[in-house]
Amino acid sequence: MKILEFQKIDSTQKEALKRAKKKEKPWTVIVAKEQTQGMGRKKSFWFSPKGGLYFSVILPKSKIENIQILTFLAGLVVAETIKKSFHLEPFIKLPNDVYLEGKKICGIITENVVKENEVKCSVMGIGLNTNIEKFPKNLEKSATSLKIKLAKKVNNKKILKEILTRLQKMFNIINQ
Amino acid sequence: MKFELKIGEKNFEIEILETEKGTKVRVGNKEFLFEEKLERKGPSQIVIPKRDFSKLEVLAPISGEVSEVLVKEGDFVEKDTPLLIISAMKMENEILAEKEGRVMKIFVKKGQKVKKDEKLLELQ
Repeated sequence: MKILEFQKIDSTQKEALKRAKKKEKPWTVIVAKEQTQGMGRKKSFWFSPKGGLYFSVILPKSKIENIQILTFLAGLVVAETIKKSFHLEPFIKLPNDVYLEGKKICGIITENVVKENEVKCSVMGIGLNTNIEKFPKNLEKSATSLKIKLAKKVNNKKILKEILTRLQKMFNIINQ
Repeated sequence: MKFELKIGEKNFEIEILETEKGTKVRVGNKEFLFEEKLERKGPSQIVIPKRDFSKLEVLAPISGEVSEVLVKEGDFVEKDTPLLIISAMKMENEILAEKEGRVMKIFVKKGQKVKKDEKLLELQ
């Protein structure tokens, strides 16, 4: 796995997709400490100040039906990481939003490039609210972070490694 | 090589260029690229590689919702041009053109739900 770290970037998803289209190797990960235009679904933005964990993974080629399962399982992978590492009880709102006590803590987006019924490249982006201390007024009631819940800072690098390890294991099982 | 061609009542300015990527044929302000090189058969005969004019139906690879239509009828697209985006289960799927061609007909619109293998558009 190749991990490329950025202090600040517009969007890890945009950067990873651009590289994936230029045939960057699978399991290349773009991670940023801060995003200025973090991507949400349907052209919405993901609030991405310093402190959070924002990354996108270029996935190996896969059948389109397998990618659909994986995007669903990515939510499970994040929830399992939160549960095992921090003894919290996350909730998955299908297909793959992760909530903690009614507030969103993680969003996942997957983008595929398809030609002739084949997935040419695939990029999965995860935005996890780890060390965010405060949200803007429009998100205060709907979003939370691990730091707010635990009242302490968490280790982004360690969480990233755990999620990627689980994701890769899940991918290999699905594609066997 | 430049020349004028008259078809019926219409005059067309044609230019044929050999480039690194293949043979470029310019008709008025439109360009077509053929990846094969020109074959010269004699001083005044040139064989232009055949272009595939068959229709190509672009079908939905999965069921979902059309979140963007990126081309319009009449557009000429190159191979690998993004044509539409279909959303499904929080995945965005960008559908590329298999080959170059003109968008003859678009059968779907933004916001429309589509089933797997449903016709999205037709290229020629």
